[in-house]
Amino acid sequence: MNALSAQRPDALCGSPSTDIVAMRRMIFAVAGCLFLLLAVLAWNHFQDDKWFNSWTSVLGAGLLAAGLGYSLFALIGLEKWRQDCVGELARSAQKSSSLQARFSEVSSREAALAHERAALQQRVAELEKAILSLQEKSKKRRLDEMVSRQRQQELVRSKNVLEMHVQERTEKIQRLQRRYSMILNSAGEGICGLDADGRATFVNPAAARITGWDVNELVGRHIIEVLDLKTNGAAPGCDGDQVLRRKDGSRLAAECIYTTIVEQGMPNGAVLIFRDVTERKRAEATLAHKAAELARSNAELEQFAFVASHDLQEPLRKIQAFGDRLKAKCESVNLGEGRDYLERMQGASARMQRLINDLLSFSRVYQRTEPFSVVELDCVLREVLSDLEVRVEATNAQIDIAPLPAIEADPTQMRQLFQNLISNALKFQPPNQKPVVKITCRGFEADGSLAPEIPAGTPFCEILIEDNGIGFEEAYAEKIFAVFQRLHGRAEFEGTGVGLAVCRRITDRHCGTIKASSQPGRGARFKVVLPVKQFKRNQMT
Amino acid sequence: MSPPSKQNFILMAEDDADDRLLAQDALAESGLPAELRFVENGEELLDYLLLRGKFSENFAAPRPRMILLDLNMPRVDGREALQRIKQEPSLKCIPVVILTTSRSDTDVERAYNLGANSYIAKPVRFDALVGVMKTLRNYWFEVVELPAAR
Repeated sequence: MNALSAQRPDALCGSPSTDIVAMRRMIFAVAGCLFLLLAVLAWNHFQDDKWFNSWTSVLGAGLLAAGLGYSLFALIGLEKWRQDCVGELARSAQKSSSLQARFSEVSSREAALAHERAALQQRVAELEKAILSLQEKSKKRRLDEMVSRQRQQELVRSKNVLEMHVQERTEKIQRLQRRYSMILNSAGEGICGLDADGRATFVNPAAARITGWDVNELVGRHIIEVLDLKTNGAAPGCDGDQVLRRKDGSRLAAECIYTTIVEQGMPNGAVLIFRDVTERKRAEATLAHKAAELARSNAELEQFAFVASHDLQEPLRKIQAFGDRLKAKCESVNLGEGRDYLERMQGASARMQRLINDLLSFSRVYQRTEPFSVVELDCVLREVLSDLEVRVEATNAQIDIAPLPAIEADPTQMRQLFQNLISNALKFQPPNQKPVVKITCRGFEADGSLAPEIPAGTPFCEILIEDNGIGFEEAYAEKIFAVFQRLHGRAEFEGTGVGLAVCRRITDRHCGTIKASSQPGRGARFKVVLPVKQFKRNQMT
Repeated sequence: MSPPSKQNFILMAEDDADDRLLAQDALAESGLPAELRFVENGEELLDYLLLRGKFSENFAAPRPRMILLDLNMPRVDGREALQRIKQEPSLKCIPVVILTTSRSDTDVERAYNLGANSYIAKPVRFDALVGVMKTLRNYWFEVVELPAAR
């Protein structure tokens, strides 16, 4: 305890330190005496209860008083010293604290400075690094700049080139546009481009002209409504023949073609093209009218032919009949040449009857026609031969037939054709000769040279009818097909000379041909060429 | 008025005078007794049968045993007359034989459709006509039964 308390004032106060030590010792001495006294007193007290008995007590009291005085003095001086000391202490404490503070301040400042210095150093290092990197960056930047300047130059060059190209393209596009505009504007048909709602986005001048509107009056409007066109049910279009309404309300026959524009699989508008077909309709109407007239004329002609033949035949009948009556009535009378004249008259009228009948059948080739159907020529031939059976047997004729194909033809006319040809073959024979008739056939394909509408490769069949009869001069090969043309007198062979003319008419109607070739005394060959299938245009006859 | 009596004669409707003559001669040549009376067209035929027109006062217009009918006649032709006759209840039982120059299938079919009893195309030669008349007379007068006169 002592050591400690001694150290502290040394540490804190400088010169008054010895004073303080002395004081302290004094204090302690006094304090010790006092204590002793007190102890004696206490013991006394305990021994017996007398205060003022012995010298101890007086000593004690004197000590006590001295002690008290010293102590008091000490205490006062102590107090003063204490106060000084305290003050000094306080001051020195203050000083020391201030010193400490300054010291700490300084040290802290030093630390801070060191810190800062370190930081600065770090910063310097960083900055140096940064500088380096910046330098690098700036180098790089310069390089980049160079590169980008180069690129820019390149780009500028490219841009110039592109601009040139664009210019060219634009010019080309403009030319094309002008061309298309020209085409659309020159088109005779009305052309409208429609959007998905059916409103016109484009209308060409012809459309305006045809409909009586102006182009700008039509653009943006719903064309189908404006023109009052009929749509085809579910489909949005209005294809086909229409009657469109012009601006002034008048109607115009037009042919419309409606085409939907499909973009990426979706319908997106349409193109409507229409054409004024008034002329065509008029032509069609005229054609229909003419066709009707023709039909009527044909019917009248047929009627006329029938009636004419009927009425023409009637007087002939009378001539025949009354000729017979005359003959009967005058049987017993000798008429002399009269009878002969009568016979000639009757013969003449009979011939006239036959002529009229033949003329009628000649005109009927085109009048009385059946529609074309598939005809088995073998069948036809068999029927014709059976019709001619009597003649064949009577002359003991030999008929050789090869298989014939089936072709598209008028059945009745085929019969007529074969009938005429074969009966001719049997008729024009020298007397008492056995007629031999050969019928053969071969198929071939057209080589394109027959007629423009007959393409190469069209199948035809060629039927050859040969006989061993009297034949004729080659010079007459065409003449014999003329109507009423005969090469022989009435006395030699009967007939009106219309049979071959009918055959030619029949082959003409079937778009085929018939040709004859012969030598006198060497029989005749008739070549009939017919198409296997009939042509479209012929189907309508 | 009671219906007219029926007599055994043939009533022929024929416009052509020559044909009438020929028919008369042919029937005569056939050698069988028969009377032939003529009317000149379909209208006259109907007038006669229906007792109208110029026959309206003629109570002596008896019904024929059969009628020979030409088809082509002026005014009312044979086809019309045939149709009328075969539709008229009092007349339709009289046999009507068409005797005409026309051979057309249309006419034949139409005649039978309208109820003609037979159709004969007039032959060209006279002797054939005689044969036809003979056949007709035999057939219709001897062979067939006709409804009794009422």
